[in-house]
Amino acid sequence: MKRLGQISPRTILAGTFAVFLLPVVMVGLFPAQLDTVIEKSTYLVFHNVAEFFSIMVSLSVFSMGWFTFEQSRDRHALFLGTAFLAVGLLDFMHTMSNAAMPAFISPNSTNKSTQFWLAARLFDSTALLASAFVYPESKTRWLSKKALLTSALTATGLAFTGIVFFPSYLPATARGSDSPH
Amino acid sequence: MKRSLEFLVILLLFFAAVAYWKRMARTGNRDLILYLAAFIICIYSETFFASYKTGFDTYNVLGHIYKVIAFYLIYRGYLSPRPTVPT
Repeated sequence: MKRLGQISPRTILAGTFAVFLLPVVMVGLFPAQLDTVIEKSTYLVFHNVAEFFSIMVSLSVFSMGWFTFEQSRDRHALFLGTAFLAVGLLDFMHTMSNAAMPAFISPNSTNKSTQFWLAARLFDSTALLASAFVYPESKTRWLSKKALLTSALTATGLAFTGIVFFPSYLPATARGSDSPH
Repeated sequence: MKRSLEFLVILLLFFAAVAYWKRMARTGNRDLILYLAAFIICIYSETFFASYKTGFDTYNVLGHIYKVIAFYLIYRGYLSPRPTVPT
C-alpha cells in the first residue's frame, strides 16, 4: 500500500470504477469484434482456472484466520476467515456442477451450477457486509470459533443438500439452455 | 428469480462498501481500500451475470476475470498488516 499511500481513497475508488468500466465500454462499442461466444471446452478450461484461483484464495483466507486466531485474537479475521471456508466450498461445488463437466453426485445442469453460484455470492456478500461491523476485539458468544464454524458448515451443508438432492424445491435459475456460470 | 437474487447480491455489496467506507473513516485504516475496490469490481461482475444474454460469451468471461481480480484484492486486504491497537 506504500505506493498508493499518497493518493486519496476517493481517487483510488474513482479510478477503480473508471478502469473497470473501460472493458464494458469497449465491448459495447465494438460488439462485432469483442462480444463473441466461446467454444464450450475452451470456456470450461478458462472457467476451471478462474474458479480454482478464487477457491484457493478463499481456503487460504480461512486457514490464516482460523489457525492464527490463538495468537492474533482477531475476531474480524476469524469471522471473515470462517465465512470464506463456506465461500470456497460453495465455489468448488459451483465449479464441479458446470454443465460441461461430468456429473457431480447428481446430474449437472446450468441451473445446478447457477444455484451454487448464487448461494456462494449471497453468502459472501452477506458475510462481507456483516464483517464491517465486527472488530478485532469484538466479544460476543456467536463470534466464537465453534459458533462460526458451525454456521459456515451448516449453511454449506444446507445449500449442498438442497441443490444436489432437492433442486425442484429451489427457484429455477437457468434462463438459457447452455449458460455456463 | 435469478436476476432478483443477483440484484440482491449487488445491493448487499453496495451496503458493504458503504459500511467499510465508514469504518475506514472511523479507524483510519487505509488498507480497507483494498476491500472497497474489490466490492466495486464484484458489483461489476454481478452486473455482467445479471445481464448476459447467451451462455459462454464475453460477459461471462469478463465476469469471471473480474471475480479473480476482486478475490486477489480481498486476499491482499486480508494479508495487510493489522493495527496493533484496538480499532
